[in-house]
Amino acid sequence: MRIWDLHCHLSGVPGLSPEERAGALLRIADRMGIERLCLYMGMRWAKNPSPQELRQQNDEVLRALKAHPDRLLGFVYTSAEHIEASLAELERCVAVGPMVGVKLWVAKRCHDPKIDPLIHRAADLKALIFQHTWIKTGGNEPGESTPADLVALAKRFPAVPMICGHSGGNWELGLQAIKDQPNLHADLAGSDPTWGITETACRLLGPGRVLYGSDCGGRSFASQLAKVHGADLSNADKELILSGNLRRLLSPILRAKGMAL
Amino acid sequence: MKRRTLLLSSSAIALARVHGEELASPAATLVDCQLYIGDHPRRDLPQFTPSSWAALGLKQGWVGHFGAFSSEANHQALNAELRQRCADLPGSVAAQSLDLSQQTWRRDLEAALAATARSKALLRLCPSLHGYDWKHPALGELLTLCSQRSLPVQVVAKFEDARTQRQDRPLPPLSLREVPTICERLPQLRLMLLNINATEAQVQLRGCRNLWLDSAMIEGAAGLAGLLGHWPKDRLCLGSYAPFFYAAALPLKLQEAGLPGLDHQALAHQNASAFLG
Ligand SMILES: [Zn+2]
Repeated sequence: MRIWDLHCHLSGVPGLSPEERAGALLRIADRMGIERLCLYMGMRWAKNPSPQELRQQNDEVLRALKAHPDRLLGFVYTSAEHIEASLAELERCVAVGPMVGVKLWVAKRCHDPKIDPLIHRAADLKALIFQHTWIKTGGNEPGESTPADLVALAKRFPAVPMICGHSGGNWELGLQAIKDQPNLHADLAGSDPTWGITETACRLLGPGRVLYGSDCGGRSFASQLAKVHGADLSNADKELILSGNLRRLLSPILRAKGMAL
Repeated sequence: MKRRTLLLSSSAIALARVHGEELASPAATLVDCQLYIGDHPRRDLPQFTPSSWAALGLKQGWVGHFGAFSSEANHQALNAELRQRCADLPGSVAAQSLDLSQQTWRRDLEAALAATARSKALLRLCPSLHGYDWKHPALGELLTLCSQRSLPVQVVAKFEDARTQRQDRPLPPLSLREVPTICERLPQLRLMLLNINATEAQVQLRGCRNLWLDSAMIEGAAGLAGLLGHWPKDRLCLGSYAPFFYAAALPLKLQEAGLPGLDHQALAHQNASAFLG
């Protein structure tokens, strides 16, 4: 079964440079049979990054991509707090550069229409949009989106596929929140491997809207792969989740850029 | 409650192809130190059967009862059911429970030990769910007794990510502050903390020599190998926390660690055997 990992980072991985860290990540991914990794954000994170920090983190991912162009796929880190700077990063890293997706984290909640110019341009470029979401029992960060926030955004762009990062973390609530919005897809990454997440996602969204990701280096590949390998699903559904769906969502931009599928 | 059979697909056990090469599938040599039967208080989970047990490829599994999470459990009855269910699972070891906040705990303990083969006696406690902590006099008494009798004890340190807890039915974690003192006071005690994460191991539990951990909540890229850079190699065991967690994570974590042969064997089963005694 081919495995593409939707959700990887350079943080939490040994190595002093982006190149070293990407190499370390790939050596571990090799043990798990993972073919390609989507990579976003730099070696040191900022919850509300300045334009300069966005550029620096994207520069680090660009260095990693240059070292392993056949294995890594980059998503440009952007922020709805800095729309102009983020649009510039989108041009630099996706329109001109090799990146294929957009990562939005916790700087500003995504339900705010202020984010729309960024989504319009990303859609023009066919870049895949990934929005982190959580529903935390103790309360979210001020700028942290919930799955319901993402539904509000997805309704304004019904033809643009988007990923609901972590399926909302508390996936029993998150999957329910996004199930009726057909352009939203569930990212399985970055939560404990609690039994039932993958079966529930497939039941509520259908297996064509569920994607494997790890959130490595913060998470282990193993605990996150177990959500798919250990799920009570057919091999055909597991193939979709492990790589088929991501390859389908990325195929327009990979084809446009002449990159291998 | 609907019953499902725990599914452990063959792809989870012998899974990966790397550039066309089949990786070696782990033989039935693994010991899983943290398994459960019974009804989980919050989730409808699949149940182990002898066939799913065989499919996992375990040499041995230490099985507790989810019913022990309740503060109203009758542990003598629960342990009797557990022992009976374990009799149908070849290779299983009953991890019997006690609630030290109940007046009956000494009687429950004697019943548990009387019904168990000496070589397979094992206790699993959930203090935070039963409303007490390390400072409770009964826990001090029990741990002293376990140390004297060479009886291994597992203590569940946490149950779920704090960020996903249900506010109406929380499963609170246990403070770890007193653990180093207890380890120092009882150097012969065989104590295993379940569901510790790597940061807790490296910060709060650093230097605890006679303390074993399980792998269920050790995360990070090749996280088990990473932890072994800071934690004694003979004090880490595999534990899945299945069926609350997917059991498939257990062999996959070992595979991800990429350990050299001797360390691999230690983690796969030798450390667990040494703990059980
Ligand atoms: Zn992440």
